[in-house]
Amino acid sequence: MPREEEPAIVCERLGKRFGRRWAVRDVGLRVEAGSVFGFLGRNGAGKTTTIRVVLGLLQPSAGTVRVFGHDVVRQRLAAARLTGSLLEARATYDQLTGRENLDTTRRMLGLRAAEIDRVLELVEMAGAADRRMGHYSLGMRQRLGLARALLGRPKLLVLDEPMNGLDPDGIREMRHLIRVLPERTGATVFLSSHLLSEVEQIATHVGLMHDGRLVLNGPIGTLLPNAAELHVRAADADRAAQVLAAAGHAPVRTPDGLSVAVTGGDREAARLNRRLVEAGCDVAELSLRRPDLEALYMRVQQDQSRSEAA
Amino acid sequence: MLTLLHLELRKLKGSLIWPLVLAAPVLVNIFVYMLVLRMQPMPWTDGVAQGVALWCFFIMPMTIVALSILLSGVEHGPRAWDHILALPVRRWRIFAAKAAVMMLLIGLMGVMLLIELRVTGMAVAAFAPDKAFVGEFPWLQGLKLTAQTWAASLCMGIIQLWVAIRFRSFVAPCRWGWRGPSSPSSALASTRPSTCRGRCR
Repeated sequence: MPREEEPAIVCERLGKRFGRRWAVRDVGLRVEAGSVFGFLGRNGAGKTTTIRVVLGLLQPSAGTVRVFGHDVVRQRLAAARLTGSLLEARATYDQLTGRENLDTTRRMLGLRAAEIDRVLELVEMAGAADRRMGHYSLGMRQRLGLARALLGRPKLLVLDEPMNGLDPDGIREMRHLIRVLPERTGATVFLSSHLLSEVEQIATHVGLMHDGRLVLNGPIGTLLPNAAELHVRAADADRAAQVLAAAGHAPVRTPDGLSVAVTGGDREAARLNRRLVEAGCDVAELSLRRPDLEALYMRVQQDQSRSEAA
Repeated sequence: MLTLLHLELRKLKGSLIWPLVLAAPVLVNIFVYMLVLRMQPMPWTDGVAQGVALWCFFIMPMTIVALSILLSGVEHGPRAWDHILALPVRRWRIFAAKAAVMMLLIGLMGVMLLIELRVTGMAVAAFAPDKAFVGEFPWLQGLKLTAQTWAASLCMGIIQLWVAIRFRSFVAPCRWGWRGPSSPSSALASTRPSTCRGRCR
């Protein structure tokens, strides 16, 4: 049984070494129960290695990993009973139907037959379940993989690049499914991805891996600063700059206009627009650019590369 | 364990394993048929012994290599090992189920070989009566020989399956399969008795 008070995943000083190379070093990670945790990082950053350790597929070289309080090495079965995973969409038997594939896992888990219909409903695949897997599109495979991960009502879902290779429609469907899963199933979702915009739309928390280390970890709301950049393009840029300066801002000239930092969001943008218009400035364009996960990701990556070079 | 066995067999649906299981004993019987036509009529006991010898020294080792590659390929192909090994099931049971299916199939082929030998004998009697086997078909001796062959293949089969599971590429199990079982016999064959040292060149 999951220990309710325990976080879904706790990694303490986790390290994994292949030969002399450390793929993951000193990772301290905490995934709170009920959250959707986006695990980010470029290829080779150590995301998949960490996931494989969490699932008990690799033994850690250093540190510990606990899933709802169960050590994944010493209590692998207890931890695995609480975990469902989607690692590889193609990891299905093409000669069998979708239902037979699910049934294979269901029987291994010792679940009742009705469980298959439940998970098929959850991923909206009931109609295609009796078709051979060989005839499935990648999007359908991903959804069936997700259904398989949901068998047995796991408390933790580990999804490794669930949107990899999907077309825009497939990405939208998968995003929708992952977003509603915590609500429908109560499961904590831990997903790795390099599609930052997608993670930003789904995740409540993010962790960023760089060169085997976790360099950023926390709720997405606190990691993304409130400050946004207001871009202004006016017929008389000098006059507009004076107005903005008079309003207490420090406008910066850009090749196509002015840029000012604002913290008040849309309301502040509207207020500045009114002041510009009232001051007789013809505003051709006014847009608020919020820092997104991609900007944060790029900044952290650059900081890391710079500190390594130093 | 029975559930795992059932699931392993289910995964073989549409696999090349079934044609292989059917073809291997047939191949032995084709050789036996051709052999019998070139020899004097022999008793059934010799015929069965010849068939089983052909099976265990020639066809069975190759079949075990192919079986191990195909059985492990069921998981290697779609990269399903990670999914299976992440499930809350004791891993030794997963591997034991695979090994059990392999040994079951080898046993099945042994029994098929025996039945087909009887059919081959009938074919010889029909098409070349002067070469027909003499006496009664020795079911008991045949079963005993097949069982002994099956038991003797256990160790080789399990090691071969382990190699095939351990390495995703089929090259390693193939190399092990050809070299492993043949190495002791090659070593024996290349060892000359001390009495002929220096003369047997």
